[in-house]
Amino acid sequence: MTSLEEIKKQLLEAEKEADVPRDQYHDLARKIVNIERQSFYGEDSERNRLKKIREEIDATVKRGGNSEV
Amino acid sequence: MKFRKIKLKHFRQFYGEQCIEFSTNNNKNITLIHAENGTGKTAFLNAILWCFYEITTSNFKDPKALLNKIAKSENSNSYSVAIEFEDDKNRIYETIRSFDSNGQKFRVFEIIDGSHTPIDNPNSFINSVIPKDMAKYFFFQGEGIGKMSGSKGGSVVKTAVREILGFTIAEKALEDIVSIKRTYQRSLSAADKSGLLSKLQNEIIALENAIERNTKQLEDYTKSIAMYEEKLAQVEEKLANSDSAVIKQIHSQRKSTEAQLIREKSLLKTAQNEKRNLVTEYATTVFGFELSNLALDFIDESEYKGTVPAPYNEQLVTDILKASTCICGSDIKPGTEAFSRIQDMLKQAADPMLESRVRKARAQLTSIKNDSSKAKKRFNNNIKALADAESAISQLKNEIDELTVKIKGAESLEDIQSLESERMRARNNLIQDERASERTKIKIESDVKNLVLKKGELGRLDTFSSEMQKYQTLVECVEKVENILKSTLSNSEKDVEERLIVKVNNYLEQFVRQDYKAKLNPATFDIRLVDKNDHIVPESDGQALLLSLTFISSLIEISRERKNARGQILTPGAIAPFVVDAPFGDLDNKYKGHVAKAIPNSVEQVIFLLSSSHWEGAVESNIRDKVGAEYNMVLEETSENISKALDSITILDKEYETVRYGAQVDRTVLEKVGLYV
Repeated sequence: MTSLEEIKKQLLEAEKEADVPRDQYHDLARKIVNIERQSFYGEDSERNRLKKIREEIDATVKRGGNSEV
Repeated sequence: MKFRKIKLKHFRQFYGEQCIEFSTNNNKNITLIHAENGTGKTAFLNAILWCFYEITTSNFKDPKALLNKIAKSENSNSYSVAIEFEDDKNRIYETIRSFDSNGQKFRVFEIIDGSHTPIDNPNSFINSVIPKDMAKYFFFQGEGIGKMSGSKGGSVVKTAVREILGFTIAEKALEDIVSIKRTYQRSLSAADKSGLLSKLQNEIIALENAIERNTKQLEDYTKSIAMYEEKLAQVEEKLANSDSAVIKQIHSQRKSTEAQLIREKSLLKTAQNEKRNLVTEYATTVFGFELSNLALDFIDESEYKGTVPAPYNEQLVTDILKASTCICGSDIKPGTEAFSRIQDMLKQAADPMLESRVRKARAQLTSIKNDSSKAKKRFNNNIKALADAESAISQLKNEIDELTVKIKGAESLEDIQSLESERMRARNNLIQDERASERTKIKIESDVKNLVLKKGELGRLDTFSSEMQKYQTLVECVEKVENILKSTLSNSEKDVEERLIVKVNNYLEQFVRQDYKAKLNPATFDIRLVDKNDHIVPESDGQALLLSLTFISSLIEISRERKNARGQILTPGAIAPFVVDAPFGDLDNKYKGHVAKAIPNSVEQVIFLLSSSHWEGAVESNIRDKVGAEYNMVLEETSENISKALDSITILDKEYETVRYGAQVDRTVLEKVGLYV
């Protein structure tokens, strides 16, 4: 029988799972949106934004096993 | 998040330092601020917006001149707004935006045991509490965010849905991603010495651009079609309800003829499809009919002559001659008569494989022959159906034209003539846009297919250098992120659209009982009020405001539900006070009370800025039990009251001034009426 505690536990696990990006591309999408957010709300210069996004893309491609990048 | 207090210093008409403490009580969650017109309701709302985001509402005059005029004349150049608030974990913060000779400062502090600790990146912090895009829905100017219906209604609703979901940031990310992808694609082309890839890459970019452009165009056509359909429905309804019995009758006849026309068109389409199927099914029968007759005649003749099927098996005869032994065991030596006779048999003998083929050919030819009569019958029926439908369509079109002429010819009914012209224009535009929409759809489909082919070609190119490989990998990575962002935006938007209309109707039920329902047009995003009979309600200013308030309440609820939204691509929702400036202005009197009662039940904290005309009567009686704090904005004037009547309001049987004459300076002061918690 499923107890209330078990349901709570499952919900917490589901919540944790939702926080973990599905794959490296979802993770990259999240990082890019955060860079965009920082720039939009004014604490990061606009000039740096594209540079930071490119760096994240490069890092993801490298982690993906492509040593040439 | 709940507001605890606000301190205004020399901000517009609020000369000196003035403070309000808001009710943070869960049951008595309303802070009611009385303010007659011109005392400072809008300035107060704008003080909040300016403090948090340095923005003001569109109806706030001279938004750059925020320093109080008296203070300015006294050579002061500093003004500020400070808001103290608590979050859902009861942590207390103070936001201060101030301006002085050193310029503007924006700071946020966490207050722990009375001491202030500055928060790093205050802008980001505030936007994480209530994102700027969502602010105008929480700090709400009562004249509305615009009409939910009509030609601009759709964009108001769509923008609101996007802002409440925090699309702004994700869309900016998407723009950057596409721009970065283009630079990678260009680098990829530049790295290609053979020129093959460069050509493909340019074709891919052109296709992607065309798909994007046409997709936007298609959205516009869809909106426009929905708009013309609605226009047409409105005209039809007006004609159907015409005062003239003759027009009514002709219109009804035309409606029924048009319905018949739609049926006939559908029959014609079915017959045309059937024709295509018949051609596919009986192509062999039609084109092979003559041939099958000739071939069968040939086989029959051969049969008659005894050559087909052959009386002897070629293999058997050859084996007998080779073995020089008959199947009865007798010797058959070459040169004997028996040998010669058997050798003669070979002339009539046949290969069994050949015989099998002939049998199959006969069966096929017989089937073609038999099918031909069936095919003829079905073709004849189809030709008849096509002719009948075409003739009926032509006749019905003529009838409709005649009826239209009759309606147009109603000389004494100018309004009918103009309605008819309006109808004609809407119909023509609708037809044009439907055709254009179909063409665009076909173009998109074809471009998408081509894009897949071109990308496939690109993947198969074996002339990739390591540099090219590098850029290709980057392009692929960026494309994956682009698709994730696009699908997240589109799925969330759809989800919220569905939830939104349910909520709007729930609120409408609370606000106006069963009088109206809301309908959202999924193509235009236009929200309309419809009555019990599903007829669109012609919108008065009051009804527009009703819909606006219903919509805002629904958005706030969605924002609250999304407070803990995960995924981190879209901005999570917010729980914030609902600060409403003059919300009940044009609202029909019978709904004021319901709306006033429903709002504090749907949000955690409400700050109502009301003039006596908004508040007295239905609103007061419905919210009184929920008021936790009450203030009065008093206009102080240096002039003496010579002939003017006393300006006052009566709150809970006690009279309060709304204008005070003979004061030391011209200003607005915030005076406490009562704290009830």
